Amino acid sequence: MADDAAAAGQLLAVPAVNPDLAVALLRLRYRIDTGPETRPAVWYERVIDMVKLQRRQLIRPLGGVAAAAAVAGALVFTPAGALAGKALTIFEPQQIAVVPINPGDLRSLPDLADYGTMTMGPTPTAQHVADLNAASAAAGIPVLQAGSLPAGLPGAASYEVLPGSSASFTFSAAKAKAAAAAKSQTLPAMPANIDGSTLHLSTNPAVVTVYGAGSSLLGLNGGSAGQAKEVAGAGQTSAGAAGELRHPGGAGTSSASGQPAGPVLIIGQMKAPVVTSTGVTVTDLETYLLSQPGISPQLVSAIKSIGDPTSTMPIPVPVNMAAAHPIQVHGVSGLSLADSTGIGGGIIWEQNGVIYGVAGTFTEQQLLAAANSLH
Amino acid sequence: MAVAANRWASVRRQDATTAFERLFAAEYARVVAIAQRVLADAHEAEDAAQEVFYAFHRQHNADAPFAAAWLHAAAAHTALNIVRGKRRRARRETAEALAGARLQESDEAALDPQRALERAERCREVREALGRLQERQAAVLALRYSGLSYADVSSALGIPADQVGTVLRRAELALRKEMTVEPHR
Repeated sequence: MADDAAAAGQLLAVPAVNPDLAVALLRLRYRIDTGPETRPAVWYERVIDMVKLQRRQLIRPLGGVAAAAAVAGALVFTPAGALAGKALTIFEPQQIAVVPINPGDLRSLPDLADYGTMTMGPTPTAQHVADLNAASAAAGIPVLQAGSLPAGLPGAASYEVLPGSSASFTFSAAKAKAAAAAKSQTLPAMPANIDGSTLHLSTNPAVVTVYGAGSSLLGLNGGSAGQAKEVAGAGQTSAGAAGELRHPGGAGTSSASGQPAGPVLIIGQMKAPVVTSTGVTVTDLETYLLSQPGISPQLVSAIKSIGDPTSTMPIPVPVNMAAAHPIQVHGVSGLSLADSTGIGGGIIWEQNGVIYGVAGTFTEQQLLAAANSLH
Repeated sequence: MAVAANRWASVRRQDATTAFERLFAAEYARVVAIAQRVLADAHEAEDAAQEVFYAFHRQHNADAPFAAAWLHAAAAHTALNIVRGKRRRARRETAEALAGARLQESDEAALDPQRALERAERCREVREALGRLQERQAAVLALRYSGLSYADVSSALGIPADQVGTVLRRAELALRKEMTVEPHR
């Protein structure tokens, strides 16, 4: 082994490079300011950045379904550990609602890690399954299939199952105080009923059905052990949305610009996530978290306007990246999201405890037709 | 309220610019070094580093806690992709031609052209051998031999910290085998 290391060291020896940082930064700035537009991050990919849970990829935004769960957990709740026999279910969404967010809101959101300790469960690994029946068995829910598809899509679909995951978060007033002091900030005192309380977030298996070029777009097949090839970070494990630049080393690059090579339709289905608590209520959490610095009054107002926080899953939509409006789908009220790049959009709704999402490179009308055809 | 909101947005943009520049200052040299480890070409290494930072700027917040890890991993994978020719073949041929031209201009070439040529050929073989390794193994080699700690390698590549050593040893063995079995592929 020592010989191998010595050999590798010799083989990999290279002359040192001492880059001129000032020149390099000027070069980069010039490219940023004058270069051609590449595909900007789709809104749910940017939102996922906000909820980095100490892992680069936890839940891949597939039609916004999984992203909605992760973001909801970050915006209103923080994942934490449940204690058997003492955990109360404080969040079990029955409907969804949009929360418009300005870009600055995302950047200024406080770091959840400053308020306590997160513990993550095993990183879920997406698994390819053979067919709809296998996907239903793996996910534990009847998986619906589209009865009609937009023109231009192949009839055959690929199915991926992303196992459920869990995370816990325990609040700590001492940690929050120390973090604030380090930043020379003064924070609202953490209420006694929050300090030491634990939240546990459980997400259920998600089934993703992909038609068209989406299998390369998502890069869900294969990947390193314990890691789904999903985005949100670099590396081989980062999933393949667009292009090598977007996910260096990731699989399934479709084009240098990151645009999908051909039409794509993605259908995501997942039982709604559940958050349990060792005692703190949703209202107490919402009141406390929304009083923290970095959350604009507009965002506070938008979150408070979504209705009952115990049963409503907020879907944050950066206003510069996507537009959202209510839409009737499958006889319930859902959300239609249109990406500001014009690439496509998605429709999200919840029904009977399952969150559905249909997204792709199609018009709202086409996506709605596909969504309504699910059976 | 609109004026205040605009002013606030402007402050946020300035904060974001400053944060990105801080990140750049902190990590650019390391990113170049990682790319250089794979490419053994200073110009290509800086080109790769530029692409990495450009991609990061388009996708992520500079204050993201994963920023450094992302950049490190991206540097390794971007450079490996170049080696494997996933970019346009012409770019590699151009780079090789440039490398050849630079070699001819080097002091070493002037003093001992045969030795310089042999060194360049060996360097090319090593890069190609790296490109034939499994992605994770090649990336571990690139990062570890660029000076990253086991913890940093773990963060960048998502490998459990207690497995980095094992992956590294296997990668070293694999590289040695590639060079032994196929030295002139």
